[in-house]
Amino acid sequence: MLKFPIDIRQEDVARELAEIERKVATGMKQLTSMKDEDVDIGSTDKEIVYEREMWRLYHYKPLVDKKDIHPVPMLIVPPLINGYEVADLQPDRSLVRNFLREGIDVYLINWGYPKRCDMYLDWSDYVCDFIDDAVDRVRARHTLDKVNLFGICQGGTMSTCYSALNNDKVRNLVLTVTPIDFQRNLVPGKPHIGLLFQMGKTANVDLMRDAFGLIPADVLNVSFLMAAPFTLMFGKYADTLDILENREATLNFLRMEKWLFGGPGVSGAAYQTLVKNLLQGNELVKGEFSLDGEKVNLKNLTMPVLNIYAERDHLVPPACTTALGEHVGNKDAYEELCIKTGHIGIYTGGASQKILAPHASKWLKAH
Amino acid sequence: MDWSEQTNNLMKAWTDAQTNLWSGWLGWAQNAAGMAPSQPMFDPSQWFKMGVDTWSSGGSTAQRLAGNIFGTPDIMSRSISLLMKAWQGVAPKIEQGQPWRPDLQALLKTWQQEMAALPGRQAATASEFAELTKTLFGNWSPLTAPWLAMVSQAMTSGHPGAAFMSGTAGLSRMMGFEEGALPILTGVSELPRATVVREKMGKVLGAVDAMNDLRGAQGGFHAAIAEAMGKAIERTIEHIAKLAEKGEKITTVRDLMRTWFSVADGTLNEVFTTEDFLAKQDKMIQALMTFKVKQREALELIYEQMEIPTRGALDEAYRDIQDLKREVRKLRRALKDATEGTAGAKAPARKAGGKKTEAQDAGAEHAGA
Repeated sequence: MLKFPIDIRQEDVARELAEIERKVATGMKQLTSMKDEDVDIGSTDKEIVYEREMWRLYHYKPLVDKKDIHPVPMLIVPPLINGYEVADLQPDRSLVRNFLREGIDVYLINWGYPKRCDMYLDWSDYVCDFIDDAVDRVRARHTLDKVNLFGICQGGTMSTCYSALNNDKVRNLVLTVTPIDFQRNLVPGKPHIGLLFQMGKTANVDLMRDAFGLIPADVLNVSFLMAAPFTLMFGKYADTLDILENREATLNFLRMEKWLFGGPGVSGAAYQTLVKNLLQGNELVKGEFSLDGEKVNLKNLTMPVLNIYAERDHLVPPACTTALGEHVGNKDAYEELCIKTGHIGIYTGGASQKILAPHASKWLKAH
Repeated sequence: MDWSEQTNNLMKAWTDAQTNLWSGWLGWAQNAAGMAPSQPMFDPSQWFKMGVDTWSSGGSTAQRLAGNIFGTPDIMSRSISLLMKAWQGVAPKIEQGQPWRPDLQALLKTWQQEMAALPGRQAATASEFAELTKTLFGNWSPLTAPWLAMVSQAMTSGHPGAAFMSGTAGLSRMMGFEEGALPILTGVSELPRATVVREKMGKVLGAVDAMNDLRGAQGGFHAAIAEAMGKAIERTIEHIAKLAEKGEKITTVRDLMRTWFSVADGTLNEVFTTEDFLAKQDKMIQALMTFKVKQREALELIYEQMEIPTRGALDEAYRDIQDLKREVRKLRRALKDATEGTAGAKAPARKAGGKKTEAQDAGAEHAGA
């Protein structure tokens, strides 16, 4: 005889809900005592060495003696979608800080918050003008011909394009969870993996650009949430009930929330290129992608390339990233590193703190 | 005690606990917000937001989280109520080892039909949320009400995908529906006809057509979501039935909720990648975007008549400025290349594989940009 499978007794329900009520009340007290400035992200000490239009070039203060700083600086290129703070979420979960501790001289582009007037900025502007400008500034500051480039997600795609067009200015290219071949997104039996790319394949992005001009950050956030709507929209907040009594744990949760939902919008033209040319057309691996009238030829990637991906990445499936190995111009100088984490965890996860920057730093120093 | 009895006891326990929870919160929230007690209300999370606004100004991250936390029991309540209603409908059959899916399908069919018809129903019955909600809670089935309330709450300001959000994260805002379709079109229709030539009237009618198309597309999207949710419910019941077969049990409300979230997400993921769903979603988004464009065109008609600069005119200016910036960039680059050529420098640095030796000058071409 089957036993009734929902064994939740009346007194247990009452006790559980009373406990939830208590936690909510405690949590509200905690939350209402927190100001937005308490939820600090991107807090590692830095100076603005250059600013232009809506973007800024940061240079981070070293955390090691001058004599221990690696002579070739590294420029981090974050994605246009989401803020740069993913690289510096909090002191104990900071890619930037980890690189500084390893003696890497770190520069970073903060793309800022584009406004409606920036809606026509396209990939040519970002790659051939802004990144080029930032690279030239760093080269000039260090009197070097070449610098190291580090790309984050879609910022990695832009870094790839830049390096292919300017291989005389890039000494080493490090990519993290970077989409290259956008058509390798499907994993049989795991529909949540690559869902974002799948949905984008049929999207009418021309119309979206016309309607929005500047694609709102919230529209982009919805796409990310679709991978697990109930868990991401409700489940994680229900789980948060258990940490609300701990101020530091709550602040850490809020830092991630602030980064996730505080990101910038994206210029319609840049978004159109990302979806139409790169995702739908898969032009990068087909050798059909052009910027400023010049073909982006991945064979020009002759510098050492370290391509780092996350094993459990559901947004940019590993196959989309590792496809680069088939296209680079110098396969002997191409390496991969797999980290057992997710798309965001690669930057903010506890385990990754001990792998990503230490490994990449060692690799950079050896090349 | 048979499963029907046990289910009824469970339902009673759940209802009683919820009543206590809500009444406890009411008192707490009223005290916290310093508001007058005993105001009739039905939605604690909405009521709570008023309290939070009293405590703090501006939208901080903590405040947003507070809203989401407070909304959590709300979605928990809706989720568990839905599952328990569904369970109540099929538990006796599962206990007796009889086919239970037909009974569930019958329940879900009504729910799905009502959900799919919501956009039209909303337009027809009331524009005010309170009115609409009264209708939902008063007239529709107990199984339907919690979910329709959630959808309705989201739909009040627009996008049906907000059904997922229980009104806690403003998905409607995401799709730009905050502008509100009806009031704007009402304004357009009040434009003095004598001043509107035929082709301009066409723009107004185009916006009206786009709105109708949007309602149709929303209906299709709702139907697809409702179907997916129906599948998710069926799979969750199936999951619970399997637990019974294995002699396992769910012993807490939160575990029941986690089970639902997990099974529902897995099911939705599968549906989201089907061609049929993607086509309906694309159609809905396309209709939404078209409506935004047509709405703007109709509005610009009014602005032009009043000699007020329009969004389109500004965007054109932005495009011209961006084109000019690119021209400047090219000219600077050409000037730099020419200067380097005169100075006997090597090939331009921009060419892939080229050499660049005068790094000290790097970036100078952008000075003052």
